[in-house]
Amino acid sequence: METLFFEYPATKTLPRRAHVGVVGSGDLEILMEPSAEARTKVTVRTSVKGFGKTWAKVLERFFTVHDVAATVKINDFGATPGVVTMRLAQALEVSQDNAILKR
Amino acid sequence: MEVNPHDLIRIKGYSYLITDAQEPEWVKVALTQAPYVVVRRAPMEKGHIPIGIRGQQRHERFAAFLPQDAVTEVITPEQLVTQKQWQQSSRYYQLPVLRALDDIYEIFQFYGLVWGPVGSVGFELVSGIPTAKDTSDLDIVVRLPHFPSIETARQLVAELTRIPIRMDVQLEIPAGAVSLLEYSQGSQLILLKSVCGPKLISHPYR
Repeated sequence: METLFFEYPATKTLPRRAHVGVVGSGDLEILMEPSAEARTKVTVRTSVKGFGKTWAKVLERFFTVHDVAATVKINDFGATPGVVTMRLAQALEVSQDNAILKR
Repeated sequence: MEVNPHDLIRIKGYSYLITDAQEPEWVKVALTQAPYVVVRRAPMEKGHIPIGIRGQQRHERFAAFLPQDAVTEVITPEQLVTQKQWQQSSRYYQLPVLRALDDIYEIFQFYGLVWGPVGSVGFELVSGIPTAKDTSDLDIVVRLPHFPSIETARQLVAELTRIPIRMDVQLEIPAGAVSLLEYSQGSQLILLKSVCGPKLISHPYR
């Protein structure tokens, strides 16, 4: 088990909390919550050690494109970068959908 | 030759592997110890089968391709179930995951589903090499012609949850695999792991 931290500047607010993904080999769980700070803070807990550089690349690419101030917790079970990016996109989408429903 | 993701292949020899990159040292060691590779979820390339090699450590995984003439035998996860292969294991009384397969067998039998253990447990049952650990999850695939009803999925999850080990069940349909748990939750989007990579699809029965 390895824990990694990442932080990025952010300006837009995340509409609402989102929880996506599942515990399972090659997959991951993501909890994305709005943050009052103008930052995106990501904590990754992964079962696979030694992929810090890959995480940095994948997360930086995603949060450069998607500017949201959020606290993100990732629980990873060996997901590929493709799966990680897709789950992040899903979390954003769910957050926006939930916001529409609650309006 | 038909092979599916998770099938194990007994290979003729280490020298048949087709690799893009220089393989790490452990690959040869692993294949000398047990000449089995696992079919990856990826497209065939020039008729070659996409395979993966697993080492002792969790991070030791290596992707390669295998020419079809290097295949000695294909062992499917469901084959291990027909013969209740786990009961023949010398570690049956030592590993709770192996004994749990008896209960899981009854559940899937009741629903008439075709299934099998994969991951470290499947590999151990086929190769005879102690691979599963006390801390290992039990990875299972269920092969279906199409998605089950959400009700069936929920009932399955409820029944499987009573077994006190951590399980990861994937529903394998022709288009790819989805997590049984995620599917049963009925969220709008679910992750499909297809031969062409992962994609988010709309839940078919929501």
